[in-house]
Amino acid sequence: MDTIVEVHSVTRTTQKPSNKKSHEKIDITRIDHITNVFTNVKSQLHARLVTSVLDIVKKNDKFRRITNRCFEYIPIMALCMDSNMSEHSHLFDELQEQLSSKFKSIIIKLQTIDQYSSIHNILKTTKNELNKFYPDKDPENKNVFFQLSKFIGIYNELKENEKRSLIFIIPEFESMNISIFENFINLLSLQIKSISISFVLGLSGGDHSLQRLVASRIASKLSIDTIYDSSARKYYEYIIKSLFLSESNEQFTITAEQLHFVDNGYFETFSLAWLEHALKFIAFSDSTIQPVNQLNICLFNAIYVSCNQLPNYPLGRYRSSFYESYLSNTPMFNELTLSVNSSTIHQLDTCLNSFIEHKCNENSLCIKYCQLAKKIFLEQEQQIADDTQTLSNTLRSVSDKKLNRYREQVFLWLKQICECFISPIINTSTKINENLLHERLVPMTRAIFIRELTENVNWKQRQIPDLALLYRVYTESGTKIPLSDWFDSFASLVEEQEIVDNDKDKSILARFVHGLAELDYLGFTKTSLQRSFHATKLTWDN
Amino acid sequence: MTTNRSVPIVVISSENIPNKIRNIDDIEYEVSQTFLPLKSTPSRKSKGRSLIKYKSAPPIPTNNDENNEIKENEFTRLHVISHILPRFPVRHGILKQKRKYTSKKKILTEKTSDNIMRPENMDKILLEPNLSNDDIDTKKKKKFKSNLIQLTPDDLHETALKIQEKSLHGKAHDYLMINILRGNEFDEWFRYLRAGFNILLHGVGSKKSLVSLFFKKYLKNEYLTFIINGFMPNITIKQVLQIISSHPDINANTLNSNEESIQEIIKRIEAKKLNIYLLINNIDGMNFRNTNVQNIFKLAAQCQYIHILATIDHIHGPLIWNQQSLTSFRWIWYTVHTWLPYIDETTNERLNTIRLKTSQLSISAVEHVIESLTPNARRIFRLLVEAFLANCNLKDYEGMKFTELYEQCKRSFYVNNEQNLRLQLIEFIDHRLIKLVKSTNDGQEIVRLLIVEQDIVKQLLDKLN
Repeated sequence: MDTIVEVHSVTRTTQKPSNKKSHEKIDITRIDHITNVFTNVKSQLHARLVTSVLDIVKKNDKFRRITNRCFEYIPIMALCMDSNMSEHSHLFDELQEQLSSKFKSIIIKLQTIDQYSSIHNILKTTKNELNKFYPDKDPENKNVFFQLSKFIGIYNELKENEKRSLIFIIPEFESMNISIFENFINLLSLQIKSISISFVLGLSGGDHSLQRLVASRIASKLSIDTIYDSSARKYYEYIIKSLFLSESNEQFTITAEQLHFVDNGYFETFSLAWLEHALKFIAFSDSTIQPVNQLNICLFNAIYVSCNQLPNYPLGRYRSSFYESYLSNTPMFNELTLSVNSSTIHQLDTCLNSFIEHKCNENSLCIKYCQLAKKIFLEQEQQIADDTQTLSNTLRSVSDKKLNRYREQVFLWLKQICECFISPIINTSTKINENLLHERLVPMTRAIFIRELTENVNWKQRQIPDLALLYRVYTESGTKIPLSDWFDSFASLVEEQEIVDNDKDKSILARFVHGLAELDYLGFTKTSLQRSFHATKLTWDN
Repeated sequence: MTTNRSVPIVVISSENIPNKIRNIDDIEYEVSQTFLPLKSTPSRKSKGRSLIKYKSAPPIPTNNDENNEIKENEFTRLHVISHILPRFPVRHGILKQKRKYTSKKKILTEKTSDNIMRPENMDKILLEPNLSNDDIDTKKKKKFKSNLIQLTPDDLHETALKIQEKSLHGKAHDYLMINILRGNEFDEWFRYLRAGFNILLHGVGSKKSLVSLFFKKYLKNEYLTFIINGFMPNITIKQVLQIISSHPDINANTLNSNEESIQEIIKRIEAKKLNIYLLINNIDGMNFRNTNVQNIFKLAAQCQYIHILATIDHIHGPLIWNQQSLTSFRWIWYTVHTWLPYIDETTNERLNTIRLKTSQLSISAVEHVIESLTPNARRIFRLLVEAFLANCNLKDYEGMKFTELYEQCKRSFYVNNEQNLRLQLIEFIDHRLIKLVKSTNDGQEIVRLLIVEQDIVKQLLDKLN
């Protein structure tokens, strides 16, 4: 019989290495690079959020100090993260650290479910934090509610420089019971005149998450500041830019198919961890293929930023979509035409200026197109001679003609730049196509399993296994399958494909029962205890 | 309940008996009086109700003289008249019976086309022996049941081995390398594991031998490896953590909480920078399916020095993880259809399937029962188990004698008198652990253990100890 855990220690001597594979060096520089990019992007975006929160707290603090007035409402800073909160735990750690160091505040972080499962637990946590700064003089009194009001009494007797504000941080606000939060706010609202209290809430969803708060009974007691510096799309853009559109040495290539897969997968799950895992897999699996086409990143970024000044985002609303078009070698002139045709002089000016002023790394193409842009810009500023003879019977005014000419020139200039991105890309054949990515990262295990059981193609030359035969009858049965009938069908199928002489030793029955046990184990059936000779079908597939 | 079904009615008209319409029930009843009644063929087993035909039809006196006087000009008509209820209230079972008279019905419906039936044909039809489909079914089921009861777990085990032998022809290595792994999957798996990913295998067939082959080729003697058999019904995460902690290379303290234990293990491993490989057969095993256990594995997977290669078999296996857990594990999924039989994995299921017929309990049920027993009861049961294990190899061993058991219990002060012992044994009987039988040799009372598999009994003894 098998043991629960088999332990195999290292017994190799240093003299003879038995396995060369273990000594092969694995290149994980790309994986480390991806990890670093993710960490940097997160910290960059988190820093913005922290700055926003600190600004609001500073502003509130100043108001209180200068006016010597308390608030009528409890200030709430709602961070709309638009992604899975578990991936932003560092943000709240950073917030806690910054708030406690920069402001004389007592920070109470309610991060585990136990801590905010009831008001009693919330007050218990609060008491523990308060005791660090204001030790409890009467530790025997266990009534938490009473202690809070008692604390306020003692707090009011303190000198101004000894007083600290209370800041509650709730990273996963959506998992908190709203009625508990309402009751807690009602309790605190009695004390806001004496002590400064504010909240920092983390919200996974977007605007609709706030509705829960805004629609609650305590909305009139709150003053809500929403901070939108974080979104799933923002993280994605920053990561794509850092990985593929930056000047770093550890750049690796990605195909259009792979980028498309990653894009779809991320916006289905909104999980940065999934994105990281998928990119690492692609980077590691494709490590042997060298980048063939060097993308002119400076030019790419410059033209993208410039075109964003034009209406309707002609090169794609997001940088990643422009990059995807580039990778899949699709021209984007239709949108460019429409956009340029509907743009104003000011927009065209801004477009050209942003390109001219972009921080260039002395790229030859950038310099060339910069000069062209300057030329177009200067030409546009010159007056067109008012030539009444050339003005035909058209109704176009001089300014219209000028605008059209300007548009035409800018369009040609943009087209020239885009054309250099649509130069024929040598097809780098890679085995990491979309099918393989699906298979390795998001497989449909059930469909694959059932397809294998039902496909007869594999078995043309060999006998169909018992499990497949049993499954065939299984699919044709109802909820309760009588075992004797099932056995009869199975036996007839077995006899069709094999010659079985007088089954004296009941081998077919034994095979049937074994197959039945396997189906039980795999979760297809449940041997029914109510009607002993029936099996209950547990899965239904078309 | 009205049913729109055709009811054949035999109409006999004669000058002497004007317009006498006799229901088919009456005729059949008369027929049944002269012949042996058919076997009762219950359509339902419940409550031992047997449906006897013709119980409700009242006896109609046969007037043979009258019938004999029927002359040639009389004829019997057979009409199929629909939407007419039977004349007498009949039991549901009889209606059912009638519906199953397929041969009769066919003939009768055929004959109604010309509305003429010869008397001799009618006699033939009515007097034919009728075997209902139910009879055939019951015989088949009984035969199936009796054959099933005769199967033993050893038979099933041998069958499974034969099936495996058919595919492998004795060479598991060749079968797997040539037929299953078409490329350099092992290489890929090893690379991914070393790069920080974890591998998850899924597909039809047992992957246990594949995992052990991978271990032999790439990890044996090179890395500290733990092969965890998650399919075992008695495995617990605590045992796994204890075994890992107690390894001399890790030497971590086993703490009360599982989470603290795994964190302690991770700390030790990170401090020593020791790469360990966990090969988990069936990470979706019965005892691994709850969130707490998966959280332990998740913490292990997040450690850069712990590399996990696991297999998953259950059709709904991936549902044990939510999106967050899946990404924490960093799985790379591989589809591997070995089509090898699940031998070790289905031990419990095989026993359960047979045990249903012999009304025995499964391992977990017995263990549960033992846990609920009083310490004294457990001691008495242990005596039975020890006696079984000591004598099970003997051919004619029927069980422990009651007198012997009583002597031993009395000597060890488990019971004061015979009555107490009998009360205890009644409790065991109620729990379907034992049976009191009379010995075939000398007629003495024997206490027979209903669990016959030695492995399971040994497990029980360990539990009792």
